[in-house]
Parts: sequence; C-alpha cells; structure tokens
Amino acid sequence: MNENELISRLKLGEEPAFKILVETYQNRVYSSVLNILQNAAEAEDAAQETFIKIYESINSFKEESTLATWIYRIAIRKALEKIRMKKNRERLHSILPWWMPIEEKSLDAAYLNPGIKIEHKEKATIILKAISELPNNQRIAFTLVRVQGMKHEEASEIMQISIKAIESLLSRAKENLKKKLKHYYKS
Amino acid sequence: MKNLTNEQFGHDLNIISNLNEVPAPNFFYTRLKGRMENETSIIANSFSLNPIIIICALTLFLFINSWLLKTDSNLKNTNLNQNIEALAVAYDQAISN
Repeated sequence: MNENELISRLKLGEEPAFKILVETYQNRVYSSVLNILQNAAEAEDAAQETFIKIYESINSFKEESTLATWIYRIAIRKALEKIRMKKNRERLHSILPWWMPIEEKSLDAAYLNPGIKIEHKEKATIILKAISELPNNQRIAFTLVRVQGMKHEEASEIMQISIKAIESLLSRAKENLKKKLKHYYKS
Repeated sequence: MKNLTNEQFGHDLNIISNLNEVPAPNFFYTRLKGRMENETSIIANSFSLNPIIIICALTLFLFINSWLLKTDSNLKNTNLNQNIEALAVAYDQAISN
C-alpha cells in the first residue's frame, strides 16, 4: 500500500489502515520520543498519545509535507508536552512535596539503546543527561540531527524552521554541551 | 590541553551519534488500542460528570425549587385569608383592618 492510499484509507477511518500506520511508524516514533525524553515509560506514553492524535486529526492533514514529517512533528510536540508537565510536577513538588510525590524513574535511554556499546553506557548516560538540560529547541535539533542522524533539511521541515536556524541551534547546543561536560571531565 | 578537550569532546559525542532505532515495547498496538477504547468509554461516561452539565442541572433545580416555594407560599396566604373570613362569617363577626 502506498502512502496516498494509506492516508485516504485512514481518512475513511479504516482500522486495518491505522494498524498498518502504527506498525510502520511505531519504532521511529518511540525511538524519537525516547531520545528526547530519555525515559522509557514516558516515551511509550508519548508515542501512544502521538498515534491517538494522528487518529483524531488525520482529516486535518493537508499533505503539504510527507506523512512521516507530520508524524514526527506530532511526536515532538507530545514529547515537549511531557517535558513541560514534568517540569510543572517538579515545581509543584518543591512547593508541596507531600501532595505531589516524585515519580519513580525507569531505565535510562542509554541503557535501552542497542546502538550504544556496553563500555560506553556510563559516559552516554552523562552526555544524555547534559542534553536533557539544554533549552528545548537546542535539545530537539541536537537529538534529531546528531543522535538520530537526520539530515539538516529533514530536521528543518520537522521543526518548521530554516536550515540556517537548525545549524545555529546545533552550534549553540554543542557549545552548551561542552560547558556542561567540562564539569564531568574535571571530576 | 584545550585541543585534547576538543578531541575528547568530539569522541564523546560520537558515542551518542547516529544511534539505531529502539524497537517499541512489545504489544504496542494492542496496548494503544486498549487505551483508545478505554479513553472513549471514559469520555462517554464522563458526559454526566461534565461541569457545564452539572452547573446547568443545579441551576435548573434551584430555579424550579424557588418557583415551587413561591407558588406554594402564595397559595398558603390565600388559603389563610379564606379560612379567617370563613371563621368570621361562621361566628357572625365583621373583619376590619
């Protein structure tokens, strides 16, 4: 089934088409949100919410971009929502610790990613932690391009910004990461 | 020392560069379907718990209640006056204000 056929069948609300869509994109979506959120439980939640959003709003998809780009956009928006919610929870926890308990952390992304060698897991965890402390735009651009290996053009389409802006975000992200990691090198 | 740091930094970044896709958890589609069905039933059940519905129902209830109370009190006043007049007639008494 080609993409256009899949989209038109999705717009008709056909469940088998939705199953095909999920099975085609689940690994890419899960991987992207996991690389951004670095938490398996939150990543699964965000991936599920992404597909629910796709199911609900497929009729508003105008096909100005590819289906994959549109799906990535939704996934990143969902990941950012999770980050915002987590920050709010932490803020509330600092004010009312008895009312808002801190959630248990699941496995780190570094330990789940088969692309990271065992001997590098510890260092990867430190780097991923430093990435998670970057401002959201830098964090997303760096994750898409550097961690997931996307081209600058693809990242600029997903983030809906120019290629120059992507390059600028990457350069700033790299500078900030360097500053953050210097602390670890010293220790 | 600075060059070494840059080299080290570049090497470290390579650790997390171009990572492979992490497969989604097992039964991802089944769990997603379960969640979607669950959320649909919650939305259906939550219609009666919608704050707008609750506020409208309460307002309507208060309005009907106050209207009934007002009607009832008017009826009681009329009945009371009629009873006093009937009593006065029965005992052949004149009522004066």
